[in-house]
Amino acid sequence: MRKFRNLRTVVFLAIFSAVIFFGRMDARAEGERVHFGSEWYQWKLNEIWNIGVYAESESNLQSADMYILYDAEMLEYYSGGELVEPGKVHVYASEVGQNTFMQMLQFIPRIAGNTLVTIEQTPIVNGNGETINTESVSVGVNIPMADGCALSNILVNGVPVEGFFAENTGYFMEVEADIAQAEVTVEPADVRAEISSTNLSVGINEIKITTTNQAGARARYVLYVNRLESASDDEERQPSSSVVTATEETVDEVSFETILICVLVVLVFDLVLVIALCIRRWVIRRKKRLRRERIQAARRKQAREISAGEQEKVQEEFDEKNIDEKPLEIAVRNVTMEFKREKDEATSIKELMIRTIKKQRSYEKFRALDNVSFDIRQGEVVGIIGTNGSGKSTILKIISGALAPTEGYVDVDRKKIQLLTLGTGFDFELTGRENVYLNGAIIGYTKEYIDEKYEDIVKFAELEGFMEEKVRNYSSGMVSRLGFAIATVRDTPEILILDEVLSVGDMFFRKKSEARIKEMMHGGSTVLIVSHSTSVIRNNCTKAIWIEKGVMRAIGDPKEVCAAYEKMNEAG
Amino acid sequence: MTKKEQWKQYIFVIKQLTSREIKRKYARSYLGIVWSVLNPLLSMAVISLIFSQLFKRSIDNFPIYYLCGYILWQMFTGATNAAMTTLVDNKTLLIKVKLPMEIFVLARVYTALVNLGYSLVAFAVMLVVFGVRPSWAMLFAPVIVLFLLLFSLGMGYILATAYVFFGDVKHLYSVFLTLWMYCSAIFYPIDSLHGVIRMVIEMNPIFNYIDGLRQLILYGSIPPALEIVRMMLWGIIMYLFGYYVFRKNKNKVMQKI
Repeated sequence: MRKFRNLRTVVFLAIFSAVIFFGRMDARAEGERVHFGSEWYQWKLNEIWNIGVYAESESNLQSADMYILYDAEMLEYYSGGELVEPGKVHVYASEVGQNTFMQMLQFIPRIAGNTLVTIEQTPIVNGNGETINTESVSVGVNIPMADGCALSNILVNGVPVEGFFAENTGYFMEVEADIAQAEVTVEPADVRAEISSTNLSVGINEIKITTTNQAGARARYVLYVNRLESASDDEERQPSSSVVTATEETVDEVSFETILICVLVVLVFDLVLVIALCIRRWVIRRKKRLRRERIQAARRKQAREISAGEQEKVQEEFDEKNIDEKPLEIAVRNVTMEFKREKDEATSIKELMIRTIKKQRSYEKFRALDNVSFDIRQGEVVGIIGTNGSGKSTILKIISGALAPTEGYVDVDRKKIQLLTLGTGFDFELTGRENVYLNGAIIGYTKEYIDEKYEDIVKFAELEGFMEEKVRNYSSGMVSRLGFAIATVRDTPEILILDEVLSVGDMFFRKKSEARIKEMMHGGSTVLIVSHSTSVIRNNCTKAIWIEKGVMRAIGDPKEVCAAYEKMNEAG
Repeated sequence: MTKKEQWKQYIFVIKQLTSREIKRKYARSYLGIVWSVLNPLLSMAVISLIFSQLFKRSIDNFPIYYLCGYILWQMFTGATNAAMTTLVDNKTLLIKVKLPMEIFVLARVYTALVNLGYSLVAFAVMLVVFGVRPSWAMLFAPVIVLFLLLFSLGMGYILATAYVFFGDVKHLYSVFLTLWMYCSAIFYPIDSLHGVIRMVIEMNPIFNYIDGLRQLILYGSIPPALEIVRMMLWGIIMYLFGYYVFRKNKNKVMQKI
């Protein structure tokens, strides 16, 4: 039941987010509009300039009936549409059959300054046959003024306009309701300036100031003077240009932000969903694993009970035989290694959380090593034998210090230990030479040491002339020869650990390598060999340890231990 | 072996591991290591072509604006993604060799740093192409990279540890990165946002680093003190936290592997 409710929540959330997401998309899809090719234009006096007018529809545009308004004094219409009257051009698009219609108009600026070009509300017929009226759109045109046209100040009733600078051609100001006429003066006085009517009616009045320089180029400043109506009625109309640009900008921002929010919401939602799924799978998998382990643990317990008696006997016999002459090198004392695993599965995230808080999570312990103790004396060659997964490599890791045991301790000088491994970290895409350095670095050689011994390594591996070749192209024998050569080039360490290395290359090389290993072994160092081949251990070791399922089954003479191991293998 | 020799050895190992990563990346190609510079250069060229038309109005020199974010983001994702899988990838090495585990994470992050170096060569070319004037403030850039590196390292430690226990982290993280990328204002101007989203982005550590670099490169000014402090705090805290998590779980990781 609980699961069902969870599912319902998830589905609800999914639908909810989808509605939000696609709802927004729909709102954006209503896209009949008119616009200009650019956000604003900069033209020059007395030259022909283009301005593109566009009509758009999301579905196929059928027709659009556009009227374009402009200031006939400042701009002279040149071509592109059909001139209705000065200041008004008609452009008609029919049977367009595409999403966008574009028409290029051409104007010649005659007076410098700033002016607006406007597309009036346009009826657009879209592919569905609907007629939609677009909003009217304006665009600013800036025409830089020629030298000698610029003013240095404008005064209205003796007061300078706010924020005057020569390139800004439009100013907005307010006057009291009782002022019926403005008195406009300009500086410098020697500029030829023509001022339009200064009579003020209530509301917004345009006063145009047109200046002319010696060459006859003209520029225009515009004052928007708002004569207030009365104290009670403060509502004003602002110049249309600022209104249009303001709304345009907010529209832009809002849509971008909402898209971003939508994307984020959907992503967060996905993330949550993925996390939920992951946790669910994890819980299920853990349940299975735990079941498996419990069975294994039971089996192991059985095995331990049987072997306990046997082991003690062997150990005692062996201890009697060897009364120590040489100092201890490695002392392993009661080492137990436990891996913690969680028991008693929680079925939902909620439950998991509650248990964690209440500290009710119980763990099952999996023993990789169970109370293992043995001594290794200086100069001994010890073989560790056992089937796969019985804890051989765990004991090696504990001895070399890579793992810390749960209980017990290992007494050994770790600086003396050298692990001999073959081809660790070989990269087949690199050349033999590069691999010598890489592999050497990993197993602990310094750069200087490798430089010095490089020739020896190549010679021993019999790979002269192949070192600049990629290892990818080596035969497997060549790879292991190189690995062996790198690993054994070092001076014999005091404690040497060999993890399955004694069967490398062809017959000839094997002899060579065995001789090398023997040389190292008989150089007086203590050697630990891990292998599951009994012959290796019989031939080389002075002592053998058999570890089975975490329990030490036997320790002593290699021949006896190997015989016992083989017997068990045949039986099992 | 003395401490100093030990460290020297570790640095040698990191260098070798890094050179392996870089060599093998282009091992089968004809141009080889040249791709390390060519690849970022070409992708930057493409990006600049596309993005020089976008957001023209609200950001001047948008390609450079974008590329500042792009190279740092690439380094961050490169470092964390690679560091995440490093322990699992180098499983055999970990078991067989007596090396501190940190080395593997460090090597991957260092690889990302070297790759950033190559990208910077390409970036320098772009700066020249787009006519950005060199300024003294640019000398401050290594500081930003250093703290971003610390931040990535901390993340790398956490992710590497987590990935050993849950393979799902990899996929989860890629989704998370997409989300993070949108929150880092890499390809849009932050000025166009308001409210909660803006707050989220400004608190976002990666955005801090990117924004810092942009101020250095585009405006030739040192970022404000508050931002520098935030960068340092993010970097140092993330590094310490990551390292703590990594240390704490070290033994468990070895058991699991």
